[in-house]
Amino acid sequence: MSREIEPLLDRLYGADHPELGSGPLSIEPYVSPMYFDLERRRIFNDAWLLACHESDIPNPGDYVIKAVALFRTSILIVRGADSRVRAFHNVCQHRGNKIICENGYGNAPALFCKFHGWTYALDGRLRGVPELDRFQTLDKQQRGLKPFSMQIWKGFVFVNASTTPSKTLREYLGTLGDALDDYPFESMRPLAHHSATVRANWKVSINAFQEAYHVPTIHAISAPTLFINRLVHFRFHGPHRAMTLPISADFKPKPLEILSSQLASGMSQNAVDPSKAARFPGTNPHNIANFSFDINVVFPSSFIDVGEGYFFTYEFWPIDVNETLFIMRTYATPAKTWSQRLGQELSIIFLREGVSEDLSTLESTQEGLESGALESMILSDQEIAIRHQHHIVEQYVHGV
Amino acid sequence: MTDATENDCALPKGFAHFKDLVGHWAKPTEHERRELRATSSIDALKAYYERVGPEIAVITRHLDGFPFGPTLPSPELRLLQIAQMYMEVAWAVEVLGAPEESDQVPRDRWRITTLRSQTVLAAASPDAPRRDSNVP
Repeated sequence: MSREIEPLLDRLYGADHPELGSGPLSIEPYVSPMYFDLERRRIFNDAWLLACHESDIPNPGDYVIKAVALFRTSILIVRGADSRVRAFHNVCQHRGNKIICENGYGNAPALFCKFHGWTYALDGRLRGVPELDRFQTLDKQQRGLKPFSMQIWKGFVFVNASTTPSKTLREYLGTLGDALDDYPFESMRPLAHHSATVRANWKVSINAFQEAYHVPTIHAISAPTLFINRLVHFRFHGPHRAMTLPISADFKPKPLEILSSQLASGMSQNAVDPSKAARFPGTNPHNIANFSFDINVVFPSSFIDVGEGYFFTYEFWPIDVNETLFIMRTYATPAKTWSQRLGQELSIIFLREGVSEDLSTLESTQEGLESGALESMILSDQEIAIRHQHHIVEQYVHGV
Repeated sequence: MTDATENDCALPKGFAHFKDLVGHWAKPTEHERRELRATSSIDALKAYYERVGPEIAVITRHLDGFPFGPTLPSPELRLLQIAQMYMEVAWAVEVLGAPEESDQVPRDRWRITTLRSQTVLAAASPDAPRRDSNVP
């Protein structure tokens, strides 16, 4: 039996978490270059960061290149001839040229450096060196690509800047991993990929995606009646957190949404006809009646949001104190017919346009914070996830 | 607008009345569909919406007669692209009431990566002449 939503909407969640406090938050973490440097050293130098899902690179030779400004490196994640996914520094072990210069997806039978033609196998072993006999001390066994720390959970490829991470990925995910372990991520396939670089701090950027207080204003055009402006069931899993977004009982679907719901499942499609959405394990742990999707934040900067028949991920890659690369990947149960594929088109459009609205405030917020006009941020109970993120960051940075 | 030949615009039987839409509106990628929607006039979008919308059910019924996969015969592929463009256009007509929403990240900064898994290609036509074929 589903739980009614009204008592959850009225609840004040801060009362359960006095350790997070209730006062205003300092602006410094969002604007200070010194603070950003501390975050880099004390958070990001040993944190598991979502880089892609295995299904993004399904075939041998498929790769994705991630330029990571924070670590001043480029990471090559590639599926080998043996179907194993590996991660390397995208750096030729001859004189340091990037092996693959373009960011994004690709496929190659082997990894070839354009500078002098050194060639590496997909498993990173150095295979070919032109004029090998001219090198007096080269040991090919010792000159394979340098691995980048990488572990996989449920097909999600996470990377870690530490060569000796203090926790395994699964230890790091802790009870958030437990909560999501049964979700059938492996049954879904990539549907869309969107990205933007924004002039905003990485936490300013993240914070726009972990509250629903903004729904009536920011999403007044794309989703004026779909969502309630409140999140329910905030769940804190150590440094990570999860929360549930309900569908509004007042949802008035447009003809496009009705058409799409007749063809496929998806976020607004399921809202039109909730009976069509099969219950997916790993979602809606409190079994609310008006479930839309769960927001799951893997500290510090990765999201895995799950719905019934679809999930989507956000990666927030800090570039500088006031610059962030944002990547959104959308996945869904694969279509079996052309009409289902057409129905999924709304999932692509809806998320692309709605998230673009979310992104639209980031740069003006950053400018406002940097102006010095604001001494502190005041948060509502509905913004408790922002308070949690702030609190955890402070713990890492100051050890408090 | 287009130098498409007669054959480049061929649609499945029963959909020939959409032939004039092919050159301008049948786009293969999400990026091209978004760009076309955002740079069209709302009047042009409404005209497309009103023309294609009533036939979406017929279009999907026709397409579902073909196995789902990475390829479709060229006429069906054009029909799919017309239907995909309809979804993009319907977003503008029904939701935005305009080709584009102003309170968003500029389009050129909100990048769409075309995924191989979402790219539908034209299947080789069984009727096309095959120069390299020895099959009688």
